[in-house]
Amino acid sequence: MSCLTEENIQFILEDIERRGLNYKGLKEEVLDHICIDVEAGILEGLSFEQAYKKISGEFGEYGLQEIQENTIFILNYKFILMKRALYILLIFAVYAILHRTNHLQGAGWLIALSLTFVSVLLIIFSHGLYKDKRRPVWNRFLALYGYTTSFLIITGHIIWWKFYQYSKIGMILTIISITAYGTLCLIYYLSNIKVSENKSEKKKNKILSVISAINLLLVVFDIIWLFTGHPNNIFVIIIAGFNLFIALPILLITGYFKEILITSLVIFYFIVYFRALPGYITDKINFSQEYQVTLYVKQEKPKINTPPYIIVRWQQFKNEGNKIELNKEQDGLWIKTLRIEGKKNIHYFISQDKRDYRVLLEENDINWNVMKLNSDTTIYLSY
Amino acid sequence: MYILKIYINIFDIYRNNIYICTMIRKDLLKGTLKPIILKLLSENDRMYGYEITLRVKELSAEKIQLSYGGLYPILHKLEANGEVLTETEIIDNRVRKYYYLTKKGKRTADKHIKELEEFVNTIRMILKPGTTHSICPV
Repeated sequence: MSCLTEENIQFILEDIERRGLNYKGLKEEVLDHICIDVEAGILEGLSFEQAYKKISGEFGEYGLQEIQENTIFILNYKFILMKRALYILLIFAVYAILHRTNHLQGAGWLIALSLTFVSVLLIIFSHGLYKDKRRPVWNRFLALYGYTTSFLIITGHIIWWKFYQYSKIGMILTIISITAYGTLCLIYYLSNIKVSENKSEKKKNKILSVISAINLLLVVFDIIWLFTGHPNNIFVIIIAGFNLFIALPILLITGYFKEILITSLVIFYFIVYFRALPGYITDKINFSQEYQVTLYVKQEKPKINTPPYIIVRWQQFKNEGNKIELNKEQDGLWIKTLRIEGKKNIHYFISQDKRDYRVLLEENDINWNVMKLNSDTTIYLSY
Repeated sequence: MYILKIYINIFDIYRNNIYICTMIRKDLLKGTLKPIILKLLSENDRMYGYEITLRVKELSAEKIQLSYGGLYPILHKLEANGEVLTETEIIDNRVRKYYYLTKKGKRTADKHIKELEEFVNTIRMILKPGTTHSICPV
């Protein structure tokens, strides 16, 4: 017969919960273990309070939380390995972006590799969900959704950036994959709020739902903004900035970084939106020494009113270029102010064709002009 | 403060108190806990957590005292691997969880115990050359 009252047991239960032990299966047996230890203390002549104080001193204020973390780690080591993979992804992404902003070759491939990493993580996560038997129907639905999204990320990106003639389809697929990923995150964390085992888990799922919802909302606004013909620089900056400066620090500080789905979403959105306007980004951000030059495009006998574009590529960056819209100053004169790093030769040609410049490159035999952009430069149009 | 939190979260720095042992250094015990637990379970129909710690304490003449942190993560891992099954009973208003070995668990236990015995013998060969065949009870 136990010498502990129901109140004593309830007291111990509440105290171990306060110390951070909330994992149900573990909590019950640790409670039993502590109760037996306390009973042994009482049989030795200690009061309940003295016995419990002695036992609780052995595991300390954070000891039980640590046991819970160790148990969860051992049970979920695959997910922990995925977390390590996330670090690699983050390193890839940062390196790719540094590469991109410094106009180095291979940045595109690094970004593609990062997105492949995102897709692989999503596939592994979805597979884990598929095998999870706690909510079989719901989890399988989410898993299938996850598989489809990862497929869209890969195909969309490849088509957009490598099959130029279908770049619009690629862009649409990428937009769908971005929206699908955001939606998946939102419904996953929202549905987890209901089945949270304790307050801290509920809080975590709420915060992650909010991050997902903000991202999804911004993306929807961006898409609407884009399809109504507005330049989408504003939302690109907001989404990339939100994920880099708000969402990622929150995940790191709270430790929710271990949640694969939300972390890969944040990194994914950041990469895609950073990549979305490389011309804009490379115009505006440079880590190396830069200076500003103004480019004048002049037509001696003004005939055209539609704005011409200048397609610019760096000499050491031959496979990728930037299509820059020129601003009309007056009839026959367009100007554009650029930020240029170093004194480099650039290759350029002027076009009025609105299509993707890579399509133009494939369709036409274009003669690239070369100029050194050291100071304000004037280009004369022959037509 | 935030930088420190980020550092802790990234590198999983937790306070290291996996198990308490009074006489034997914990780095020496590392890797032997699972075979010890499996051995005890193989000798008993079923055991619960406290019973295992008590038995280890008795058998080791109080030189090894398993704490919650050493025992339960391993038991949960064994359960997740299908090496043990559990049954619960309500005793004195509390839930008591009993563990017993499955067929797979029995095979794992045999394998681990054999490996541990070989390891102990090998160490003995190094420390006391000439006494090679005695088997150290776990």
